[in-house]
Amino acid sequence: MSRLLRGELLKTRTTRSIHAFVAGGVAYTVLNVVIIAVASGRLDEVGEKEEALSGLPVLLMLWGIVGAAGEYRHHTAAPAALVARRDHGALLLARIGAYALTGLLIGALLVAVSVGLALPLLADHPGADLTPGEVTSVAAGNLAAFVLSAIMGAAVGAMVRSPVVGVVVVLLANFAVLPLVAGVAESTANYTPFGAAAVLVRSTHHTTLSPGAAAVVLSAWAIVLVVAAVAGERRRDLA
Amino acid sequence: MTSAPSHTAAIAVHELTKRYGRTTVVDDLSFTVRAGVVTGFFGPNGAGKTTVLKTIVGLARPTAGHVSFQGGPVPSDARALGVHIEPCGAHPGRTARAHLRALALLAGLPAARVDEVLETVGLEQAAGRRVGKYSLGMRQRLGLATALLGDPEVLVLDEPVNGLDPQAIRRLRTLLRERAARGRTTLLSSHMLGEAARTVDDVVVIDKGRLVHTGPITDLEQGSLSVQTPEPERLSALVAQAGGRVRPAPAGGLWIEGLPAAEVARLALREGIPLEEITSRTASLEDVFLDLTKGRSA
Repeated sequence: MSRLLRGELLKTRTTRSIHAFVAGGVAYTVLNVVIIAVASGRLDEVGEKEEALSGLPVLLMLWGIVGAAGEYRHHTAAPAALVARRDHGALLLARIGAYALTGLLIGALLVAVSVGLALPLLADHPGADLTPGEVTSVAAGNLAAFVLSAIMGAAVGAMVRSPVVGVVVVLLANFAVLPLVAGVAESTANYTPFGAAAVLVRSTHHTTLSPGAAAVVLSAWAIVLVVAAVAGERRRDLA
Repeated sequence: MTSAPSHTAAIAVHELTKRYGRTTVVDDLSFTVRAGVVTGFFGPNGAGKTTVLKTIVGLARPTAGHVSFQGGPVPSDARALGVHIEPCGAHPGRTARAHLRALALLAGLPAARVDEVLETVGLEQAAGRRVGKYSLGMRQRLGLATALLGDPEVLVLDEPVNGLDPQAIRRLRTLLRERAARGRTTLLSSHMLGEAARTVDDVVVIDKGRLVHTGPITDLEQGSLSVQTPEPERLSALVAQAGGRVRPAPAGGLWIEGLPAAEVARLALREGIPLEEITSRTASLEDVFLDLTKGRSA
């Protein structure tokens, strides 16, 4: 593992925000499972049961934004660049990589919680149980969405350089703009980062976009945002 | 403006210009920092000191001009260049030790350096506390520890004595003089001119992003004459012809350096220039600084 990645990984786990995001993620996961598997009536379709396992990838996006934008808010990006003495873009790539790895670990924990809690509850519902293949597919989709969302969040955070602005923009986009787009053209909404993530984690299951295609769409968004963030980092002053 | 030092340059700033939009913060600035000495970088508030330092170390991109370190590009090693530019750049929710450990990892330095620099700046007892709980002086010391992490050849410090108590100031002064004795270079900005005068060998003074003075501090601290005459232009020309240096003083007077009072009086008498007052004066760095920047900041 490169020294840049190890340094950035240490930074991601030595502030209290990671604890807040993990706690929030676990709380949401438990609540989602309970609401869908216990309080939503009969779940007799596979898609409905898969929804009980769906996570909230926007949380990992917010984690990436708060962390990466916080580097500029708290002026921690400057000393990192000064001691690393590397191209600022390379350092940002390492930072994004650190958020991807941390996102993978947080995502794995959330998937474990949702699967461990939901499967026993879903077994009481009528219809076919989820097969191991279906459970694996949902878990993999959730993990991929978590990691790609953390990457996109870190990239957006590096571009906006303000945690508040980044969080507000993402929340508006996810909870205000996306529903409007979906209301006008549902298929178009699936090609937004939030729409594709929803398909990937199975929080929406009446869609023409397959989870595999959603993964490709989300990956494309992540690549575009990372390229833009690195290009911006190389061009802009760091302090 | 006096001439630049002739020793080997650790840092050379060439025709540096930095603009933010239509505002020119640094304007065609050139100066050198000698290797193995402590150089004070002075200027009034808003003179562009921090911007110059950020540009020197690569945090900001110059609009024009360039900076070289020992004739080459900005070093790509924390062992070559250490920097502290306010604020200290530590996350308030992170402990000082975690902050320095992360930076040591990024720099590829051994973890043992973290404890060494914490001890150097006197923060070893507070290393496990979150930086958000630190006082201004403690954050300054943490910034200094960050700069010292790689035991660098060249140190660039922005206002390092801000918020430090007298013991910490003395410790910093000793540290910088010991570094200079080992041939290490330091460029530091400061508003505390009296303290800086006890620490630095050379000075660079800027105002409104332009160079006002550069040279050894002894040039500034040597005695000068305060002269009042109704014919300052004629006397200035005479003094310059005789090898003295002349700078304008308040109320139409002159500061004259490099000539004894008797010689100035003899020149004036010979040419029939009346002298209303001639006073010998040893200027402090603060006096000279105020004199150099007088009128420019208005």
